[in-house]
Amino acid sequence: MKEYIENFLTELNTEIKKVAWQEIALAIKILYATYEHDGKIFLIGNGGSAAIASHFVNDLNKTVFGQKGEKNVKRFQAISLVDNVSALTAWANDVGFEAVFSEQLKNFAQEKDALVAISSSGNSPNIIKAAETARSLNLPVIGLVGFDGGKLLPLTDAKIHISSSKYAIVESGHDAICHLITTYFEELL
Amino acid sequence: MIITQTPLRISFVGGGTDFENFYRRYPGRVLSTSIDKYFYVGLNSRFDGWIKLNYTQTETVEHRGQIQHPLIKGALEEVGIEKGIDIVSLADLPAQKTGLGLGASSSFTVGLLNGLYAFLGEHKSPEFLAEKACQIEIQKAGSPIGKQDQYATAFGGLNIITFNCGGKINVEPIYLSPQIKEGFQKHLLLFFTGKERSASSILSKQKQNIDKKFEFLKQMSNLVPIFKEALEKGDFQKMGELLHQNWLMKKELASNIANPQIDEMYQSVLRAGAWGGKILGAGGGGFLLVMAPLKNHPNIKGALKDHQLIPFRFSESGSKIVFKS
Repeated sequence: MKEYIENFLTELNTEIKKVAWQEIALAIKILYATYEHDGKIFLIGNGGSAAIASHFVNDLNKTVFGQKGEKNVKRFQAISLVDNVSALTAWANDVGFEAVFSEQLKNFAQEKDALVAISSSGNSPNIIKAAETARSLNLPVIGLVGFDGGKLLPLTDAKIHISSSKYAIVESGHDAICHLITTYFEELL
Repeated sequence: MIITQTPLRISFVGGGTDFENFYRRYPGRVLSTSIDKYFYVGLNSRFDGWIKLNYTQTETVEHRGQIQHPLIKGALEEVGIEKGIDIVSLADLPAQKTGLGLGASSSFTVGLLNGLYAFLGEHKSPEFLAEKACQIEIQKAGSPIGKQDQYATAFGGLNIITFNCGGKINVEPIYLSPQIKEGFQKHLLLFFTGKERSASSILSKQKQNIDKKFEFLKQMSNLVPIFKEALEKGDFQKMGELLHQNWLMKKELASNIANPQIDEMYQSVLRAGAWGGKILGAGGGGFLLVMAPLKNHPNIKGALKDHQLIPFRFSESGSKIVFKS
């Protein structure tokens, strides 16, 4: 059992360390620039990645500033596109599931905003379509991907790529990196 | 209606090596950052087909050929707009007549181009905007300036900009931990000398002197990787000393970069305990940047109490469309 547990933790550690640090730094730069010019940050994902998107929204909006009382007036404007059941089901039912994020994006997106797209396979049609929509609107795209990066990887500006083909490893890695970014902003802002 | 926001910039080391006459012979390098002070350019279409410009002056003209402002005229020619536009500019640190050493003219040109392309429904990369701004300022308007400001303001962030002998220009971001980034900013003070200056007379002289001062410029370019190494280690004292070295060499580039008033200001901050500093931009006036141990900041502020202190922070964003309707 000890070995079983250690194997998982070692594998996770090895895979996270393979992510190019410059890509994480670039993601931080994009998020910071968006914050500076009062842009919104949209987050999307399916299943476990939807949960990561929700969680990261909360960390950007609350955790980064939560301990600072009234001192920091200006905050992140992160918006989860995975949490509105009526919007998701309306677009899924009327148009198709691949439209659920891109259509919500069209309601809100302006050129000064940014998109964070989370997909382990990098091939979810609704994520790809949203990334294409973001690009057509000139938004920078931060990608958190796994496996071989899929079709999403070339659509991203910052490429946070956990190159494992196990969902457990990829999703755990994505979550850890979101916490790294949260910690960075907690310390800086 | 479109509004663009484009940052001003502070350069630390390597300024002057961004002239083509220099970097065609030896790679030029500049380490600079954008700051949270911006140029805003607003553009709107005009129903009567005229052109109206609002900057430090106002121009109302019937067609492009009558425009006085060389950069606006050049930019409109470049994008192919002949008439029917309102252009307004606003800056966080406005200068009455001339520049202040914060890259304002390039910030304006980059922001104007970004807005003009958006006005035509086109989106352009920072690299494209920077290169076009260089063409307008240097080739069309004949400004005796280098190419660092156009790239610094179009890209934004803390970067090393390299001017390669073949003409290619690279922008390489420097990423810092929160502690080093915060520490770097905290150690800096920015004072207004109280003097505006004509950058072009200084820069013309500097440009003529490139052959004579070639060895100094080489050394200034070589300070950039040394400064970067100190920065990544968080060695603020070393960085301050390098700023001082850079300033001593920069003063040699043209006789009018420093003057008795500036020398006196600089000597007084050294006496008050600064590691180093420099006059930003062309020199002759504008802003004095000082790097000093935190414990000496009160002394330094006291020594320069007659000069305005400008609080600022580094910024990450380059030229951006912040409003479009």
